[in-house]
Amino acid sequence: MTRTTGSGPVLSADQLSIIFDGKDAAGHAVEVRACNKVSLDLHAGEIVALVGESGSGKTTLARAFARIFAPDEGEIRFHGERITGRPKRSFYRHVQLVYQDPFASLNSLKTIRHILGRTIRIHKPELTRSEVTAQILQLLEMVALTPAEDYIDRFPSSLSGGQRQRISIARALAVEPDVILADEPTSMLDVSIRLDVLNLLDAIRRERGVTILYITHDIASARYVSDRMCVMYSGELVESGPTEEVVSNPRHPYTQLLLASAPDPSRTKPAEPGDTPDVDEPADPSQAISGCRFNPRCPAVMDRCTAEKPPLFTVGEQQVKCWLYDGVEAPTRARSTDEEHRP
Amino acid sequence: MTRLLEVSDLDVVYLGLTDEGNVRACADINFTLERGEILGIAGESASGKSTLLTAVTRLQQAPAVTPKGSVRFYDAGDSEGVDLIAADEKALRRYRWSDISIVMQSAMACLNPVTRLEAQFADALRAHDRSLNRAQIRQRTADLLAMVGIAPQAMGKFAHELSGGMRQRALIALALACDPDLIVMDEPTTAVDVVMQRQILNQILRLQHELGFAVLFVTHDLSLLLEMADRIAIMYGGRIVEIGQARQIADDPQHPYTRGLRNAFPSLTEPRRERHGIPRSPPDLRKLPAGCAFEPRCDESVAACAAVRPELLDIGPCLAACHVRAAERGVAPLPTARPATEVIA
Amino acid sequence: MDRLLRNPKVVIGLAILAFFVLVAIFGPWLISALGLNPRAVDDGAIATPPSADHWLGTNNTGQDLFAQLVVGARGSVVVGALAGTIATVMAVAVGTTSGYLGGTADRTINAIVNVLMTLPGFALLFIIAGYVQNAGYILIALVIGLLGWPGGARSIRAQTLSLRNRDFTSALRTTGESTWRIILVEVIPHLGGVISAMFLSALVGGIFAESSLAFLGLGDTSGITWGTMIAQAQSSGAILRGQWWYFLPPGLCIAIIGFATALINFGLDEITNPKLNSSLAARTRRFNADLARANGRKVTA
Repeated sequence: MTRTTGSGPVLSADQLSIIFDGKDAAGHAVEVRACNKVSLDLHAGEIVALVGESGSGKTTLARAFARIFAPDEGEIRFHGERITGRPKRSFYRHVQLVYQDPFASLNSLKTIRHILGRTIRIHKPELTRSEVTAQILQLLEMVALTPAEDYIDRFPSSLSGGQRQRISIARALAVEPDVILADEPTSMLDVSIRLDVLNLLDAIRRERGVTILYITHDIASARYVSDRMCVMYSGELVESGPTEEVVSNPRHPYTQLLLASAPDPSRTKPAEPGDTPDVDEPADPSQAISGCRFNPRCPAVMDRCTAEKPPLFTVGEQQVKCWLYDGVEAPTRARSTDEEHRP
Repeated sequence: MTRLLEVSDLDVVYLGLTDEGNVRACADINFTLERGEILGIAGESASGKSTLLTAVTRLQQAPAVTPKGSVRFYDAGDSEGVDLIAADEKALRRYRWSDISIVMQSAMACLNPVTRLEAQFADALRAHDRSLNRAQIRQRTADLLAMVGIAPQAMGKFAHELSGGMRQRALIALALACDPDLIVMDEPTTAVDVVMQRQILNQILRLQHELGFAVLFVTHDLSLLLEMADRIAIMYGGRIVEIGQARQIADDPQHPYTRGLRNAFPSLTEPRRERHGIPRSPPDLRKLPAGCAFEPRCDESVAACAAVRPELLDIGPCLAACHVRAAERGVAPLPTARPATEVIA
Repeated sequence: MDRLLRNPKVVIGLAILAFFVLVAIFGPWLISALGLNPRAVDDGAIATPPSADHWLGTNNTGQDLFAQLVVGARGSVVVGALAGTIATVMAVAVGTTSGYLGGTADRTINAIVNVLMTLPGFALLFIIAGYVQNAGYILIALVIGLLGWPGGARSIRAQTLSLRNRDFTSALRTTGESTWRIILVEVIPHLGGVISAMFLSALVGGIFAESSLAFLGLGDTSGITWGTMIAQAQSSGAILRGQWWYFLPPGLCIAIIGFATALINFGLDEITNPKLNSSLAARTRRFNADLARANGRKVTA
């Protein structure tokens, strides 16, 4: 499903680090690398899923792409050009962010007409009032809030969570962007309406060629909608590759753990409860860990893992940050921690 | 199996400033829970699931009231049972924590932020057995924490010094303190990440297997329930619309809402295909339709559905409240579209 | 807005304020229409209690106190309104800018605000009013307003900070909206409640400050305000002689305006915080008691 164009990535992070001032457990000031030397390319018309748990740095990465945080190291490039120092308004003409919480991301005191209309006017000040209205109606229809006339003068408070999230998506579409960064757009919504928001993102990609970065902690929904999947752990990108490859043949022990832990409706209650591998919680980015950041939790840990940080190894179509794949061309799958749970 | 809890005809109403402003958040709730059983209650926002839980545990606060129904709790050897709704505070205290304990979604809000874990365990343990001395309490606390995989040193810590997953597990250990017959869990894993969620669920299953308590597990995430519950009740618009064995809900859901919900979870193992959610939004409890609350979103509805509210009937594989399914199974004929007061099989 | 006008406290408070505003606007005209003059001396009625001729009696020079009270409303209300407006505008401008911009700008502004807050405002007012002999009440209003904003600016800043961290302002920034438009159009409407409460307390503060200055003889002695009326009553020994009609009416007017603003603030509190609404809790208690009685149970709390 991946579409590749010869012209290179639309938006890319190159060895990007975002550093916050933080405190360690003892209260000493430390440097917290919420994103640590992350490189990620988004190509035209693809949906890339960025999967990780809380504290993995996935939202920080999205906000760095949206220029809410400035890179402390490395670069963000738009069509190959550095964006640091460039005016933000023209950047937002091309790159838009959809927020997680549809209850917080819309101004509750403004009508849908104002919310969408302002975004259109900022980027197309030449439009007349009636042209703006026509565009608002068109946007509402695009996100399936029909009849659009019924919605245009309503306030966000009279809409359900799913409808509000559609307004957020419509606002992002208002500028006719090249890239939409969707930060957990469905996690606050009821289960029964999540899929249709994902289907909407997919339709936007198909019909308008918009590149979408879908950030989520729900690996099953990531599989449902994405072409490529990137897995983050503790501020680092640990595995990436075509979605089906990553899901059916996860290489990094963390990806394997994540997949084994995800709820799967095709499993039901076992007659005998299985043994739980007692894994620690994810490493906080403020923790100092030498070598691979996953080593304290890794079932396949080796001496080398605590000594040296692994580089990215290419295994087939996947890229994995794990010493297991050093010099291995096509390795057998690393032992999964929860093999017995898989049907 | 012996009966542990029996909820009959329970209504919960949030009072408004006038009678027109009253909102019935739970209506005609009927279900039973056997000793040692895990019953899951799944529903979306405004389905009434959390309201039901606070009513059953008598933790509801104004303006919520229980105008009708009973929640009968059968203590070991007590065949009469006691109605928790009618019981006064003093009678309730006998059952709280020693027979029925609770695990809430936000552990941070449930644990006392200014006392160490040990003191909170001591409170719970002493309430149950006043004769315990300090050494016994420490020993018991350490044992309880060990059950959920927490090192005994953690008992000297404050809640904020623990990670989210640890706090949630500590709360489960606290719920186990008095060896209860029933643990009520309200979205106990919603605030933690997937890996920790899996561990906590496995731990609950293991402990339940060892200790034999029953669980009433409320969540919005049906996929979790499919993996851990014995039976599942599906709530929609304040009513139970389907209740059946977990296996049946997973493989052969009956109510159109359950089918829609079941289909709304993308799989990690099945081949990728286009799926659809359920169109439109969950209902507003203040403006419920006269007939089936799901009718506006249902793709199987017939004329009768908008006019006559379906009752929860035994349709063979499970209990379901759906005219179309009941007619298909030959349990009850499709009602005529004119509103009837009662439809009884 | 609808809910605002359905709250009795707000409605009564607003009605009282509206009444005084009307008096301030039309009072002098009404007085001359009645053929009265606040400065005219009635030699036949020196310091008389209320009568048919002089509804609120006269002062020691035989001036009609009703006419003075009505005409004086303009001075007091204008000083209060002007001072309140100036203080509120300053507080909103400084508070939102500082809170929204954050960083160095915020730290600098905050430092200045903190210094201003340590200034003893009333003492400063004294010095200025004493220095500018017989300052007109517009100047007094300016001084009161300009000294009265730092406290308000701090609370507006705190509110703005929390709004700034809400996703919707971040979302507006990532649509490319300009900073000043976000503050003016998107953020300030959320501060409506705080701003109106602040304006009302500044208004009352202005009226109090003007009266206090006049009472101490530092006001506009040529003008007629409630403050100068009380000051004259005091200087002519009305309080000692028990000439209540002399000082009580202007004092009551000031107190009633204070009461009206307090009513409005209480009403606003009830609207924005439904938990203060006591009738729901009472309804729940009644319902449970009825239910328990119907079931023949003992009523528990």
